[in-house]
Amino acid sequence: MSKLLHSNFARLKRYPIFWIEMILAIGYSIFVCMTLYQDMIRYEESVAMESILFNFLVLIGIVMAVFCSLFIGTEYSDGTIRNKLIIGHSRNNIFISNFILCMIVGLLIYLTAVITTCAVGVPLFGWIQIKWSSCLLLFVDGALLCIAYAAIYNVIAMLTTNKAHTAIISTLVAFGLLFVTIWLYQSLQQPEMMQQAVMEGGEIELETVRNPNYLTGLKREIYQFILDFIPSGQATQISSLEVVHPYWMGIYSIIIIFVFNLIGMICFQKKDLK
Amino acid sequence: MEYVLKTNALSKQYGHFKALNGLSMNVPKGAIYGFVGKNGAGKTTLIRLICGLQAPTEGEYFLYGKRHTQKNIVKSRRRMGAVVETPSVYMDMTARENLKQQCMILGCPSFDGIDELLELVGLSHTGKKKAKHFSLGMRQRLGIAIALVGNPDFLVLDEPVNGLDPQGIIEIRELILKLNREYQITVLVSSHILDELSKLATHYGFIDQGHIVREISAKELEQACRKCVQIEVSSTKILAYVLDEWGMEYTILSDTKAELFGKINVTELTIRLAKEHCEVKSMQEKEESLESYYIRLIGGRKDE
Repeated sequence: MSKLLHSNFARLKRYPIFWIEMILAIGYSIFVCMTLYQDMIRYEESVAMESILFNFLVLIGIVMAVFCSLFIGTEYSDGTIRNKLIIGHSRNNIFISNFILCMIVGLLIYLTAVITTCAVGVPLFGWIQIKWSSCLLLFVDGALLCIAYAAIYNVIAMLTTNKAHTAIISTLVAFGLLFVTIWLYQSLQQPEMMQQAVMEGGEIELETVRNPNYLTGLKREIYQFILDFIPSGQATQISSLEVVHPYWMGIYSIIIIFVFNLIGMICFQKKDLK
Repeated sequence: MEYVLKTNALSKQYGHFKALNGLSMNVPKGAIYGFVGKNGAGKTTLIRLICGLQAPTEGEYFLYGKRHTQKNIVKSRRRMGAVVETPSVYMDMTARENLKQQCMILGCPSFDGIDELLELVGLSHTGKKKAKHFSLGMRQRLGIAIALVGNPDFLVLDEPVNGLDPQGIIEIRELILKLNREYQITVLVSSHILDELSKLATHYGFIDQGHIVREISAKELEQACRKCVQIEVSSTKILAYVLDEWGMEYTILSDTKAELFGKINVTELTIRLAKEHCEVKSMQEKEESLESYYIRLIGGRKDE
């Protein structure tokens, strides 16, 4: 396994997509800080440092989908996965070494974004105002969701032997999760009460009524569960500091990591390779 | 005799299609084993199985005496290198970088030997040129170089001269011969270019419809293919008596047919046999090439 990791990281060092994504993480973080600072000056609003600290998490799914599909997909398109199998490396070791690489890349990009945001944001907006323990919990949840993404995209890449198909499927999954998250989030964000205009005696009057789109009971719980479970849902909650179940989110990520790796290893073991 | 590879009733099924059907073969140590068969016969499927890319449906194979299901077959796999179908090279890396990658995958303690390998395959001049800019011949040679990292003593080459120009074919052939003669590497090379194999192989395995039709050494093949006169007589017993008198080499095929080797005076033979009341029914010269031997063996059916 150490030999496989060594060769993977040697390849990573010269892989342009990885460096582009690192620059993207830095550039995006600086852009967000500068934009909010300009708004702060223009509109005389205050910006809390913690509200932008995990901003990049919203994009991490797409970033990792691109990286994992192209990096691992190259092993199939160039046929180099055969070199590893021919000389006797086990399929499980090959699978796990690729997962570890994707995991470390995801964490590196995440960490780079957070550090850049801190480096640029703290001088502009001041220190984090929330408790350090809460901040650390959110940071760990963010790291775990990156690892969960790594597990998902590693499985897709290892079981799809065509690089182009891998890229398409991974991108569709990334955007699919994002759209589902947006839909769930908007549904859960509906207010319980709303203002409704009614005509009374020829005059328009505003009335406070129950919002029919407000989710209640089991439906609300299911929506919240899915939002807590899927990595994109976790990313949205963390970046907007609206986390409802921070401890459960970490556990869900661990479950995703374990289940996807297990299923992936079993399927890859049986796969006929050309 | 020591065998590097032995397969025993190896079968591989994809759905309803049986690509390998009870294939049994033996690759002797130190041989250049030419694996001959038409398109779709099962050559590449067998190579995929022995390289560990796919698992057999039935049967077994042994690499250096280790069964394919044994955990310690890893040690046997370390002794082998292969180029399966197309060369496995990172297109965005140079030749040197590709070999370094393979060194890391193998866990080689250093990158010593890379220069010699590049020299051996004729790629020492490629410098910073990436593999995606290589010609097909150069990629084939790089694939062989990658397979040679770690000093294997068993090399598996799947149609290594496919798509190469005549110069490229000669270079690959000479490389294989050099590896076998100077480095004692056992080579299993699959091909359907018979002429090319006839210049290389020390042993042949003819495959058709997923099983081995015949295994034969180059010496035995030479014997089988050499120029002779095929004669049909009324009694090969009498023929044998006459030929023994003359000290001529021959092979009895049946009660009425035989093959005669060497220079024959047809008139004298016919007169001599007539004296012994043996009729000569027909005589024809025969010389078999590897191609005609193969066609006769396989049947010359169209590719399915």
